[in-house]
Amino acid sequence: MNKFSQILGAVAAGLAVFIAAWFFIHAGHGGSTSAHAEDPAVAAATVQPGGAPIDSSKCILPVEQMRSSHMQVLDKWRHDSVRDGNRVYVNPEGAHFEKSLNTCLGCHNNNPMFCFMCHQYADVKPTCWDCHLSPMEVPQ
Amino acid sequence: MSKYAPKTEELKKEFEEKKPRLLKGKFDGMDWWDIPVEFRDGNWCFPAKPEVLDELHFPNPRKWAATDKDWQLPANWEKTIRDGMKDRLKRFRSFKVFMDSCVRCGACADKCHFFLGTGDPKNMPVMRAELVRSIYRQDVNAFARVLTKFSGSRKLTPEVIKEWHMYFHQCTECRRCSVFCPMGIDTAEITMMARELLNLIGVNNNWILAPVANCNRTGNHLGIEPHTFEQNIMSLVDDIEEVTGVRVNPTFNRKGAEILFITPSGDVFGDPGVYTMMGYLLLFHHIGLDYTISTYASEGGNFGTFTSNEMMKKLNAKMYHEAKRLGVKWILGGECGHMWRVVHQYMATMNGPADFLQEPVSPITGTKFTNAKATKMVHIAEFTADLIKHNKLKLDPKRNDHLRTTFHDSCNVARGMGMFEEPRYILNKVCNVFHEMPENTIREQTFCCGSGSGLNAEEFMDIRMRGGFPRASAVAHVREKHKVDSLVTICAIDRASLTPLMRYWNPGVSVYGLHELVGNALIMDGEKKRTEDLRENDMAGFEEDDDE
Amino acid sequence: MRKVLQPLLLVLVLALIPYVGVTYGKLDYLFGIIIPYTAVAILVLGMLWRLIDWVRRPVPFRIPTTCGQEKSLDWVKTNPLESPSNPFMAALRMLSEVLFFRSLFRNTKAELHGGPKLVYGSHKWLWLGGLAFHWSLLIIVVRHARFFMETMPMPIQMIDSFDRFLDVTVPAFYLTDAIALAAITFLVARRLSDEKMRLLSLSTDYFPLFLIGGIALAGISMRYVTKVNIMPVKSLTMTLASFGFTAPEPIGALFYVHLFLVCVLLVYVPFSKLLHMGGIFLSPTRNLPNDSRAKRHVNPWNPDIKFRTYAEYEDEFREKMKKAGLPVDKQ
Repeated sequence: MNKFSQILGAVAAGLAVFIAAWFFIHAGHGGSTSAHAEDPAVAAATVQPGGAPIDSSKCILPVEQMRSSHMQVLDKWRHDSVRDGNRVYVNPEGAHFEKSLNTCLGCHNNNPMFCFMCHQYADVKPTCWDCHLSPMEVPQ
Repeated sequence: MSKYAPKTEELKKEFEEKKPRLLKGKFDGMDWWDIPVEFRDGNWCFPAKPEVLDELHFPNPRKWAATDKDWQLPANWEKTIRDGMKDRLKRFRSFKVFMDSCVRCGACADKCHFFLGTGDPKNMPVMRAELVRSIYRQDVNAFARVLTKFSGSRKLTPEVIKEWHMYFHQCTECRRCSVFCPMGIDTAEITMMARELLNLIGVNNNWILAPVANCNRTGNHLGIEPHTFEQNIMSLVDDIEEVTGVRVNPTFNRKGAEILFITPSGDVFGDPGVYTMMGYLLLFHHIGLDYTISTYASEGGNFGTFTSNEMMKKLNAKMYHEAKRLGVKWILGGECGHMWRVVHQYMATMNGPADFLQEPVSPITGTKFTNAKATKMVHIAEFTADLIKHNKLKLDPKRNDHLRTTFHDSCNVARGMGMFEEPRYILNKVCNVFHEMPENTIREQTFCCGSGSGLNAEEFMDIRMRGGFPRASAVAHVREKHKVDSLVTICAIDRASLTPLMRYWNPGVSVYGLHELVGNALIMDGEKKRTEDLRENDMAGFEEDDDE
Repeated sequence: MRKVLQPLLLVLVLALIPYVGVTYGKLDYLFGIIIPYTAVAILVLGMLWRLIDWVRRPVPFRIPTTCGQEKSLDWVKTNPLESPSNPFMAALRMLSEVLFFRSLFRNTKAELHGGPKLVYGSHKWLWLGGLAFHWSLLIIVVRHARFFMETMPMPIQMIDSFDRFLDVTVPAFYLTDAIALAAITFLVARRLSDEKMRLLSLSTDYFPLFLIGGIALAGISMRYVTKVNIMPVKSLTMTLASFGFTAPEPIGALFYVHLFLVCVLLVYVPFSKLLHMGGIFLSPTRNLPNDSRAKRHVNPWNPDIKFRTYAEYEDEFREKMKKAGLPVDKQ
């Protein structure tokens, strides 16, 4: 009986940690999306994909923000475009962009090492290239 | 019973009122160092008499009592304590590491029998150690000297000494807390250090130091002189003859015997220890052992252990000295608790190597006791278990059918030696009814009797009955469940102290030594028809006219 | 309450120091280079001094706490782990303490019931919380190797990917971050919720918990919420790893809060209860085999003690002994 209750206790504890972890994940997720600017009104509007004018002279967000948060922007884009079919991103200044990795690579195509230099240095292995063709693999 | 203890009903009421809490009193918002120390009847032992200290050349002999306002500490006592502490920190890595590495996780808090019985927060082992640690911090850490409250450090004052005296004499060095400590911190070690320090300034306990002085002079704690010692054993021989019809013939101080037998002097004089002694004598006669008993090394126990390392060594030295003089091959030791802590963990280191002795071999079975090949001293339970295993004893366990037994592991044998199986093996062979107490109260988790380490004084009865409560509660459990009425032990202090404890908490439960039951069960050559056990109580199923 | 609030306040003040220093004082070099080196030097030298200081002190007696059957007669079943009879088993016992907190696993909780009688229940929460806390801290420290090496070595990479196996959130969520925070919360809560724990806890018990909690919160915030640019961080840590003194590029102040609290922790270790990480290995009740009757343990300072010899004893009692018929050496 005692052994049984011990096992039960251990299972309960494991479950508790797991649940706590999940709560944390979702809290973390919510926190991360609210960290960068996006107009919910625009996101809700039905703008035709491809209808957005692309201004390639400026990045979607200030460079400092991009450096620290680009992974979260891209993650959000992936979710919006794949899950919700919402492919238009409006930045805080009102400029429209297509939610696509190509939007980035459209400008940052001059150097195939653009992504890799930093990722390698920081020893980060993003999952982008699991699906997308990596710039390293595109013949120049 | 004792004027030094509350009535059982009063103590029961106290427990009923605070349950399920363990702490007694309210401490919210308090720091532990603000809780005052109160000496009252029943919670302190009488200090050593001046003549005892003189005999031992111990410092500061005087007449005083713990309830005095001024304890007449010697001049410069602070320096004595501080220097003494530094010296011991230098000599004992254990002390230093235990001072440094406690994280106050509290796992030990509810493991101490004195805490469980008194509900006094300073009886939590972690707090007990903090009493010393708070002074230690002052000396080793500059920050602690300034940030006293933050770091839990404090100045050494007479109040601290009073606190030490109180709480290092409410620790029986039983090591139960050490079993649960994730750092392996052993409060027994800290208590030993603290008691050494207190002895340096004449803060002491007569129930410890009087036996020490006795043992030094006469060879045993009770101060029995050689002729009386011999007479008393011979009167036990008469008693044995009366019960069994067999005349056993122990020898004393006999040179050339194969084995020297040493047991606590409580077995020679105290009730119910004497019945255990009768058991040993019957056993040795039964197997025809070539042994002798010494009147000089007539004490197995060692109250020096509760005084200082030096005193422990001084008293223990007699065993090897006598074994060498008598020219025996090895030493057999009787049932005792702290005696075995000393023999097992200290004896060879302190007074060895015992090159003049031989590696112990049982003369009856030929078994080599390789686990004792350096110290050359074998525990009687190991010896007897080996005899039974080899079918060398004629036993009739039915002769103990009038007893329903349970077994109390003695703290020192359990946690300072690791002997659990042999006594159980013997018990199962010599009696038919044996029930274990709950698993959290036996083996390495066994509870102290509450009176060990020299706290068996009459005037300490209040704390003793409280400290023994966890043990008594476990006995009550098997008494209710299995009608157990006999508590079997392998420790002389247990036999002396569990008896009043049972009378207090569980009337109707008697205390037995393991070898008393062996003695009951032994079928001796040429014995008369046995109808009574060694206590001259009727056995069940052996009435006079039963067989007709 | 003072015992709890003081250390909490202290950690907040400590966190504020680098924040103010970097934001308003432009003291990046102090907090990025000078303090970290100093802290590591104090940690290493401090721990070294502590260890030497411990090891120098002799172990006069062999005093293992025996929690199982000793090795005795051949047919008696022994407990080699809890009563080790040789140094190898003693080492295993020690490892089981260090890695799995074996003694804490025994923990029980006593309660007073009617009768009165004492009841003991299994109480493994402290064991679980402690284990979760220490193991997740270790994993967190280990996977910080990514900052101090060009690429993580294979074993660390495996630990890292195991830690993020849930593969949720970007950047990937580390399990140990949550476990560490939950465990710290539990460890603080248990000190506050039990009256025994409230009484026996000192400010110095809360302080390291709050400090580690602060470090974890700052770190987690940087990774998931407030974000910092990782490139200058790695550049600084690589500088530190190669013992360089190049001034760091601008990094968010939160990073310096994280780093400074870590430095405080490192400095705190050799002078506090955090020493237990070394102390446990040297605990004579756990790291010695229970073989003191089979093998003589030597005490380097074994004192010469004059004891009362048999001859002295016989001199005092000779006549009485003779009368009682006891043999005597001298007539």
